[in-house]
Amino acid sequence: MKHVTESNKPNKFMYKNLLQLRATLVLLGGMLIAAFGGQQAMAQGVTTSSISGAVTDDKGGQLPGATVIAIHTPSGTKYGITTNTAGRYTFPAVRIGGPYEITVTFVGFQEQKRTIQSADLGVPTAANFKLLEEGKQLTEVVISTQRGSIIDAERAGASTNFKRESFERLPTLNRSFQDFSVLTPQAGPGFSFGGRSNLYNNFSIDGATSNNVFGLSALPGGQSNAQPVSVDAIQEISVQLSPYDVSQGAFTGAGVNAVTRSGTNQIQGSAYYYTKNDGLAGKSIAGVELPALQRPSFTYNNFGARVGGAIIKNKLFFFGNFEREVATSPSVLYPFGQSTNGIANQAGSSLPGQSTVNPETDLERLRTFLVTPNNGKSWTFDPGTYNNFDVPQQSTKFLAKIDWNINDNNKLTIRYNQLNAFRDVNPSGSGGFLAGPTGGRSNNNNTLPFSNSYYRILNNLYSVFGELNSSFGNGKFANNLQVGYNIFRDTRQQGGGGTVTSFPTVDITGPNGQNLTSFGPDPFTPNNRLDQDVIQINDKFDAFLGAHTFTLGTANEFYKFYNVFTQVVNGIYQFNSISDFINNATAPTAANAPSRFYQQYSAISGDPAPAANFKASQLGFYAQDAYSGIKNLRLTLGLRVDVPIYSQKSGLFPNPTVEGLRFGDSEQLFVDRLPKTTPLFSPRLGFNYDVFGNRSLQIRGGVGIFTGRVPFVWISNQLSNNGVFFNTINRSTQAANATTAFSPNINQYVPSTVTAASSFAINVTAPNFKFPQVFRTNVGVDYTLPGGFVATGELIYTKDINAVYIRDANLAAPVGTLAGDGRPLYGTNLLINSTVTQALVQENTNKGYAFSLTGQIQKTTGRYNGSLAYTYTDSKDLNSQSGSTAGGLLTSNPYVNNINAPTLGYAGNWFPHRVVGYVGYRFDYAKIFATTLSLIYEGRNQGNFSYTYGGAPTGLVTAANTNLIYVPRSQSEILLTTTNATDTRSTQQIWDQLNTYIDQDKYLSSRRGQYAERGAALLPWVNFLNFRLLQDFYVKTGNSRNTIQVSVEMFNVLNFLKSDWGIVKSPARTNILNFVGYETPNTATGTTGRPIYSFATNGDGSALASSYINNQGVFNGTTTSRWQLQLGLRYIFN
Amino acid sequence: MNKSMKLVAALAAVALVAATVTSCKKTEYPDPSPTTAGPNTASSRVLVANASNAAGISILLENTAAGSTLTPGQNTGYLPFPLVSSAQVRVKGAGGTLGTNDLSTKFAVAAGTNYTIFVTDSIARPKVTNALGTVTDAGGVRFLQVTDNLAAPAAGNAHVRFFHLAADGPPVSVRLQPTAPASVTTTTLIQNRAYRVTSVGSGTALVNYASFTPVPAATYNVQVFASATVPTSATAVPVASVSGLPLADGKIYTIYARGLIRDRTLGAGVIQHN
Repeated sequence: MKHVTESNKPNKFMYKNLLQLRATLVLLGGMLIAAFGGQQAMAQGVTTSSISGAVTDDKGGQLPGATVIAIHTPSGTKYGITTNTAGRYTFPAVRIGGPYEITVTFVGFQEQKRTIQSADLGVPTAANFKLLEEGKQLTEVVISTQRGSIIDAERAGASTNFKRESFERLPTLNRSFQDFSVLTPQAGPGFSFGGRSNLYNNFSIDGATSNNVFGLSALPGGQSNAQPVSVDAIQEISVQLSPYDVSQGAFTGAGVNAVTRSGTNQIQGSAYYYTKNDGLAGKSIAGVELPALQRPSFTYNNFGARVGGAIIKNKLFFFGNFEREVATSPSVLYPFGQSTNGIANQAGSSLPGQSTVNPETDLERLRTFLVTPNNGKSWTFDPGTYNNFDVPQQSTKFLAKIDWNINDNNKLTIRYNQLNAFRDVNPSGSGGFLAGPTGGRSNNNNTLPFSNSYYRILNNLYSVFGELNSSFGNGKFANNLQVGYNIFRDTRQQGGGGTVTSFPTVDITGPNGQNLTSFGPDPFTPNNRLDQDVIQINDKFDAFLGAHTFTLGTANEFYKFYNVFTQVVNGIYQFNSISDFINNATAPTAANAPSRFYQQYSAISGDPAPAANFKASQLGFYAQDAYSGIKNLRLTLGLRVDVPIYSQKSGLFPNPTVEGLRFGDSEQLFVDRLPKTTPLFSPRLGFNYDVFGNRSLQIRGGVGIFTGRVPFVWISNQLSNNGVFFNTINRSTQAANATTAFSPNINQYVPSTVTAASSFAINVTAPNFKFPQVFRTNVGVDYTLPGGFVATGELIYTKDINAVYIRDANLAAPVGTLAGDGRPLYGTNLLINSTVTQALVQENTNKGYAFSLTGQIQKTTGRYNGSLAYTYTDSKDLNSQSGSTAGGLLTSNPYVNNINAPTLGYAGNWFPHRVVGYVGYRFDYAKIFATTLSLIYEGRNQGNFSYTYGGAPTGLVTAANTNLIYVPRSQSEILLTTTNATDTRSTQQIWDQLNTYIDQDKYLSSRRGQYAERGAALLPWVNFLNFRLLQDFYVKTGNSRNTIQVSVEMFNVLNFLKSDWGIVKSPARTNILNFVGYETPNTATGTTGRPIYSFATNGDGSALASSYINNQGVFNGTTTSRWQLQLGLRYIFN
Repeated sequence: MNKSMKLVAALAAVALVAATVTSCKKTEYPDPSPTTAGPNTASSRVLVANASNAAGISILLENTAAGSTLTPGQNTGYLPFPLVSSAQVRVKGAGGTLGTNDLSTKFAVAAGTNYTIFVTDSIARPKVTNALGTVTDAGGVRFLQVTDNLAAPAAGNAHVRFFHLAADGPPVSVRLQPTAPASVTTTTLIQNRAYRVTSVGSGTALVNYASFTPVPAATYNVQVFASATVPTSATAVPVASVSGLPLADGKIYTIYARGLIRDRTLGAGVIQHN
């Protein structure tokens, strides 16, 4: 395009284009009032497809009034219509799947019949007919049916569809439809798309929102690793990145819609069993066979059945699916007393030259101390084991669906589905309202928690949904009504089940400064409960008026939340060493005091666990015109308005103390006020241009605004953190704990009489806070190549209009500048108002963007099918955290300058380069056999991370471990010290090791003399290849076919071929330098002088020489280092 | 160019321009302001004294050799810490007399503060194992660390303090008997010092043995008695003594008992701090 070459003069160019845009808008306005006529455009629902076309005589003359009947043959569902004045017809909402038999009749012409194999979700099917006059012989080939899954006039934005055929053929671990959604070229890690957080996606089942809207995970059941519905119950999935159809809403990431299966006239069913375990997994990584202890056992079993059929033929259909998953995974992948990559786990559990275990890393010493009675303490506590144990994960899914063809014009669907799932989870690494322990709490080469710190998360989902599709006025009008009710009931238990032990959480720092171990319950588990009730009512009305399709609709969701979240209600103690803990528990002194103790406790008399109880709703209204009156061009212009409404009555408590305070810049905060209602407008314009009118080349795209929602937990936080519910205790140094020793009694330091909160954290949402909005534009080009191949180029650009970030309004201004560095330095008093520990304000920002460029070649028809795509992505934002607490969002976000004014950094889901492809081949032979082979390839950087200091060199101890490091150019730019008493390195040797580390690290070596950027360090590129072989043995009896299918799936085939390949890596250490103190420490004023850092060795005293360590696990998803096999057996009846 | 083409071109161009003009921003981090000055070493110092029976102790600060090799009873002068805030002090025995382990400590160093670190005990001190068989104390020599207040004594005075660092000795007492000049007659008694104890009491009743006591500048006979109080009998035999020790005007001293009674290595060490 010539415009691109002019982009070196952006201002003039932009002006010119603004003029062009204005001209375009004027033109579009004209079109809206233009007379009806010409080609007919169409729209379709989110659970259905559409079929349309033109009926002409053999000379191409339009035939108005011809009768078109389409029958979905498997179910006998019948749709009838007559062609309009232009001789065109549209079935706006037909069942997805097929085949369809279409019959066209017209007086004086021969009847014509055609079969269409499939009508796909959200993808219109075109079928044009040329009728011959009675008695005339066919002299030319009738234009064949065109299926436009890729090249189609309806397609403007970026989207990818996956059909049942794909689910059945492609490899999938854990039977997860996310294994297919990653085939979207723009997909990133963890169900993210286009570099955006997965919490900004909207996941819907049959078009009805099925998100966990509270946002503790992207998908319902996500916390327990359960799939919301079985893959066997899904007919088709579409991933929409930029739908300009305004009926699509509620996301700024991607809209993912799964449509469930329906019954047909023929009884169809299947029963299946899939299994894998550690015996079917690789043992070696990088040429080294792992010792048995480091490849602990896991099991996975998934079994279920589905059946569908007709209750009344052609009229009433049923479908049902039941699935159960039972799995265990190992808890410990870095066992105590073992080494990883030749380096001792848990820092110094066996130091060289020491015949005995280092007492400061001796977990057995700690355990024995805790369980032994009368050894200097009056209590005992069983922390559980530090050895490996099986972590359970189970789910049961159930789905039932009725489809009723009331008549040719009205089809009713009722669906019920249920999920009951649980999983045991390692303790959270978060600190809650303060920063968590350095290095977190979960098992890694530094850290090993005890088993009773695990918690069990239980996810229960009950969902009922009804949909009525109607057409009237001889197909001129269509209506889609959806009503849904989702009930989520999520709770927690102690790991292994049962009530949570009454004991504080204890974190013990190891000799290398990283958290060595944790015991006592997870700090977020006691009382944790979340009830969500979501009602939705959607209606969409289409009018097909000549070249225009007008759409009017409304999408409304009503939410009710009941959330009990009593973080750190048992208190958290942190000790500098095992000895300190043991000594403090037996003979407390200032020297062995906890280095930190903090706790939150109820300030409401008689209610130890106050709940956030609130209601909200989001109303959406939209209007759209799809216009196809210009030759080969289809335009959609629409406007959607979303109206988030928070109930200002329920669950809100005023806090007069807070109202009397003034925060930074004299700001006044009100904890009992939620944001006012602001209508959010989303205008969108999409186009599709069939350049040559023969669907060989299409250019499509559009511009628009998309409105999503925040996870409601970010709103709920205000209700739980209002300074009314809870009091806090925060003693942050050993000196502060000198006379308050460890106590197993969780109420030891809680006042016996409940008083109004005197010291507390508050969360507030800014009064003018708006739900996230993005401006998004894309341009795509699809080109048909010989042999059924289609090449696609796609550019997507997203700019935040309202993104979200958090600031602490109670943070005192910095007192100076960090010497030798330049960032702000905070004093010893971090609070503006001493009664408020944090005043977190949720705000909007317009900073942040995502950009992706994709090249793809694919073939979706025929015996061979496949796709290969490359995507370049750039994604930056102010805060990529996806945590649920406002404190975590603020204090986990790496920064340099001012934690309250974060700067643009790389987004958490940034992956610059990604190649994804699949290929499948099926062949039937000898009349009873069929073999399907398929491969999925994915190549990408495994993720990104930030290099930060351990500790808080800027003095902001409440947000420790998040200061991005300065990468020194020379030894003179950094003050280094030994890590601990046993460190034998001289200052010169420490620098040499650090310097060598920086040199070998691709990112750090490029940032010498600068700060490391947030999220800019990339994990290495990895290639994954997954393979599936399906062998069918079938017998045909009459119309039905009985098939026994054996499946063999291998994940990470490359690692199977060579143990050096397909290895997943993690950062060896992200807190690369630990802050030790200042050059000229001064307790009175905070500090003066430059910060001093330590650069720890590996646990065995050897230098940290590599940025990455090899991951050894095989259970954590599809991206694991060791190959694994999954075997399946399935019986299919159809 | 027909109407459709123009429209498409305009729409595509708007999208492309919006993307290309505004995308791919750099991150917005400020410029750092590093300095390359050497570390602040002047403000805090450490003096190491060998009060143990280990011969040939060498000292390393942050694993860099500092000071001279010490025989029992010897001490280094004040050594500047390579940097303050957190410093490691390590001693190595000649020929591995400290066993396979070096003895090292890492502690928070306050700015402008002077420390004395004693190496105490016998290299043969047994390791301690608890009932579970876990070694809780590696045995051998140990450190004892005190802070030195080097404020100048009043005119005509010297400052002195005493530590009991003889591992197998009972609580001791000390008599500082002036011998010259004759004008100085004040005898100073230091009572009831237990092994390695550097302070007693707490709060307002705290007595810090690391604090210096002013004594008239003179030459003294120092007598250490194996009893909690100094015997009244002038003929009582001290277990260790230093004769004719000059405590000079304006100077600051630490006297310590060291060695082992059972080895007949008991002696007294004297450190002059300034």
